[in-house]
Amino acid sequence: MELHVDIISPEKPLYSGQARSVVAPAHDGEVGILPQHAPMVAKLGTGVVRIRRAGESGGETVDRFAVRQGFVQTAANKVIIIAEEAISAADVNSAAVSAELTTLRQQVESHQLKGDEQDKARARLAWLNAQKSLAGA
Amino acid sequence: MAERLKDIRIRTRSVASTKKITRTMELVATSKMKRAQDRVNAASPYQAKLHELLGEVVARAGDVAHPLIAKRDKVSKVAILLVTANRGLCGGYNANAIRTAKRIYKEQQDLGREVSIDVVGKKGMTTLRFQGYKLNRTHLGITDRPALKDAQAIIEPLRDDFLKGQIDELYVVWTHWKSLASQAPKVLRLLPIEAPANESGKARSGDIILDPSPEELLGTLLPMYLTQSMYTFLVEANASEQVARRTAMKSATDNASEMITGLTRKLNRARQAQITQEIAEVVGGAAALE
Repeated sequence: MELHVDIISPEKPLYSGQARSVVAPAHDGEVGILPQHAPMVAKLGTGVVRIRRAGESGGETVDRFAVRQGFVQTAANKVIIIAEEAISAADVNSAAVSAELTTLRQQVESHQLKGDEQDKARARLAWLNAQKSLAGA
Repeated sequence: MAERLKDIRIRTRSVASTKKITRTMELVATSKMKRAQDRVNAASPYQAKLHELLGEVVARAGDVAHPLIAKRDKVSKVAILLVTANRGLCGGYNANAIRTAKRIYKEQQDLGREVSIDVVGKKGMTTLRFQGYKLNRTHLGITDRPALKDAQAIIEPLRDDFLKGQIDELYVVWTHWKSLASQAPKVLRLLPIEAPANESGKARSGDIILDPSPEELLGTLLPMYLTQSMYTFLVEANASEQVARRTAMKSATDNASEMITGLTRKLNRARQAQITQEIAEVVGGAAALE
């Protein structure tokens, strides 16, 4: 028994295919989904989706996507992840991400930013970190 | 007579170069149209899914009381958001959208409401400003490839106005993309959000795990829905604009071809008349010498 997984972002559908299991970053921690999961709708946090599927030449492959702001829905062995921002490991521009990460981290740590800006910067940091962790592995 | 021939030649040449330009614009619009159409199609699964999810969550939330879907008892201030293009030469595209927006403006004013207008696109801005409308905000930086960020930048201030009570309703006027063959200006009340119908009127629960609570889910879902709707308006408007420009430029090119044919015929006739006259003069001259 397998799952059917779709990852949909506003600008285009990103992924559609069969999978053995999915791990999604829910708002309060990761949620693992195997076939026969109970119907569920959960809010996503910022993080990495891992899709484990049968590899082309036997074994298993894991596809990874960074996602931000969205939902994961599962019902009848279908998993649908919709996210306002989503990017696959191959599309991450790791140089640009690292550069922005360094400057932003400095700003946050030196407390240059006020209230609202600080929150925004932290959210952005989380998103950059998620992308970086994709590029790293 | 020689003067006349020269005039016709100059005219023909200028029409031909205009035709070259309109033909190029037609081709450019055609290729942009294809890409814009792809964007419209690529955005639709997300939109459909978000709408479906919203329906499910609303159905399970029972008496939902989120400020973005709550209807106001008394509507005294209304905002209109008009989506137009930055450039002209696209037939009635801009004019039709602007006319629709003005109709809504008048309707709302007749209801005794205070109306403010936000405009996307240079064409809408200049036309409405010239006609004496006061514009609240204008967004001119939207390119032929609208991004989600553009949608956010447009909708967020309006959403904040709505939440602060500075406006009670928001109407969006844009050119709706029904299909390649059919686009027309359309009006939609975007705020408060029209939640998908909840048939039973009661909270359904138990058959789906909702995490976190429906109220909290709505808190994230509704702003996402707004942004997405705005994005859809932008891509649809852009695709419609390209179609309108293509059609306009195609008919301009056709007209130019027709004009060139007419002018060429006129030129030949004039040239022939000139030759005939010259022969007549020569013959006449020879006859006079005899």
